[in-house]
Amino acid sequence: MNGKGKPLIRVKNLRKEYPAGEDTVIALKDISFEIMPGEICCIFGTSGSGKSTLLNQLAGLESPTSGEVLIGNIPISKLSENDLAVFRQKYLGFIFQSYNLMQTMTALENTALPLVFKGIDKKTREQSAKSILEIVGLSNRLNHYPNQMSGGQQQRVGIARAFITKPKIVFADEPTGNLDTKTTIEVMEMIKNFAEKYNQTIILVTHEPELAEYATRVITLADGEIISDTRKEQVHKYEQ
Amino acid sequence: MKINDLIKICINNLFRHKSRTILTVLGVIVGCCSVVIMISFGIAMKISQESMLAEMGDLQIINVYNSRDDIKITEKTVESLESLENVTGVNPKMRMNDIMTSVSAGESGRFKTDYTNIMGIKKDAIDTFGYEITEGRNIHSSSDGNTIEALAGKYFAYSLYDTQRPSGSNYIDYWSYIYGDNNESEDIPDPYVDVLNTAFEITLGDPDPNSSDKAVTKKFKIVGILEEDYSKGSETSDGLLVNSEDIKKLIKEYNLLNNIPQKGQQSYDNAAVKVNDIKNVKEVENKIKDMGFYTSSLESIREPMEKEVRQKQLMFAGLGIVSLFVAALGIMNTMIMAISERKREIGVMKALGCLVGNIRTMFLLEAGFIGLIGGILGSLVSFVVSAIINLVSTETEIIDWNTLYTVLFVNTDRVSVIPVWLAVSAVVFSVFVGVASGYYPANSAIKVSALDAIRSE
Repeated sequence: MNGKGKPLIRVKNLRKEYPAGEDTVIALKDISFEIMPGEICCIFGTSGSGKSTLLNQLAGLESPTSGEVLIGNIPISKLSENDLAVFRQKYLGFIFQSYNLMQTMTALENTALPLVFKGIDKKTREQSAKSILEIVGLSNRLNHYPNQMSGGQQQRVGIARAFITKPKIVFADEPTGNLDTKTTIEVMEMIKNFAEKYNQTIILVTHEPELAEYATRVITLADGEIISDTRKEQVHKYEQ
Repeated sequence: MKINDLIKICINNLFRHKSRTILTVLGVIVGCCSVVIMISFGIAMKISQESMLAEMGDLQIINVYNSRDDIKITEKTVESLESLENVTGVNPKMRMNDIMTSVSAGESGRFKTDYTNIMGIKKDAIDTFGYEITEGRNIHSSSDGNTIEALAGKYFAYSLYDTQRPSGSNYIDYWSYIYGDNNESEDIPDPYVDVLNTAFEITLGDPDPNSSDKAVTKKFKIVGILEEDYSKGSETSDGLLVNSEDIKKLIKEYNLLNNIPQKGQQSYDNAAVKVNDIKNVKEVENKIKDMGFYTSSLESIREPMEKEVRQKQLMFAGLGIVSLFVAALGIMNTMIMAISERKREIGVMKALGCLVGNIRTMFLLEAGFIGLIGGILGSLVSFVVSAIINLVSTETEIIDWNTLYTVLFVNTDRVSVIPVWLAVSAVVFSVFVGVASGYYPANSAIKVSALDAIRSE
């Protein structure tokens, strides 16, 4: 991957159209931007602004209509499905709004799941899962199933799962959407701490302005276009 | 992903919806069981058909006869029959046609027959054609000097009557003891003569000295007694078997004595040809027909019988397959439901870097597992059902473990027979059906769009 000085993610003239009946909805209108390594970048917008589409594109979960996304030097929209899966195993982590833990697995197994996909043996992966669950404060919940845990605890398992592979980029899609204010702060602090500790890049997709507080950069989308792109200092000024 | 992780996930998923898994497996059990039972009927039919044919005679034997066109079985024919591919033995037979043959024994010919069927055979044929010697030994290849060696049919001894007893009570009618003229369950008396330890004489021609026919008389001794087997000829019942060479010599002598001209080389009356395998019988038989001989074998009976059984087998199997097909639809339905329920999970797994191949394998394993469990249980249930059918349908009275064993595993009139290969292939086939019906759902699983699935609430 790239060194510090170069951008980690480069989005070039990215366009995504969806067919909607006889019309075509343009979800992203030829947008371009770059994200530097170590940034906590908040993609902010109301629903329908195109932020989810952008997340799909950045994570290589959908192919663009035109334009491209480069992570490092890899044009991810051109990778095959299997190469993308391997790419995600190595470089990407995901945190979801509704946690999306496997209901049949314990906290420990859920956390270790990305390592299962990588083919890492049980002993090694459970060791790493244990130590990361300790960091998120769940060492007493290792063998609990998702339905035996609170939303905040589940999301902490989700965070542990996202960071266990030490990915370069973690995508967080409305990570606190289902959580109360207190837990939101806990969860966001946790994500921020991980990112700072390992110099990871976070792409935070949200419609809640409070979350933007944690970002070093806020890209605001509306109707498929970037209407503002501000660094942290500017965010504060803007809010004042 | 490691295979044991895949298996663990798949088993976890199966246990998640226990009742649905159980119902689907039940469908496979019923399907597998019905296929196995139906096929077992077909197999049982085949077994009883084969045992019936075996009673009718040896399926590997072709009988060859002289044809109308003066194509006779000679020594040379025997050689060429022996040299045919897949032929393991030839038994040329020679009768004393047109010549009266009778036998006498004891002091001044006290014990006599009026007519005895004497058949010339090849000594080696006793072994190759499966004649069973119950007492004594086989004949030697050629009789040296004056005493001919012979094998007697099982009931030959009863065909001798005693000339020194009054007519009417000078003969033991063996068959009336068997077939009920003498209704009282009397013990069958021993024959008048212990044939193995008696010197015999054979007479060719009319023994009456006043007859124009000049008789030839030769000494012979019986060295062995044969088991009765009508498929090999009535001589195994009450006749005698000797070397064809001896028959030839006797006929020659008789012809010479009576001034009957010798017409060329003596030919055999017929020959039995043994083929190494049932499946080669038809081919060998056609070759012999091409040589110009008449032939007969059980092949002409076996083939249409086999065809009929095969048709019935197909029909039964077809009926069974229908229910297995329904079971396959059940598996497919279960898998499609499982996938639509788990869309979100599939999406998450994809986002977390699970290879699509692994996702497909997961679902195929799940479907295959349903097939495996259903197949194993289905086979076991089939054994039980088959046993019940056989117990209900049998005419044998079950008095102890031995008869129970016979009814379940030995009898050729069983209605349902499940060989091990059938049970094993039923399991394999069920797994195959499971995987095959999981194929379409598994492929639709890998098409699940990751983020759509994750976002859907």
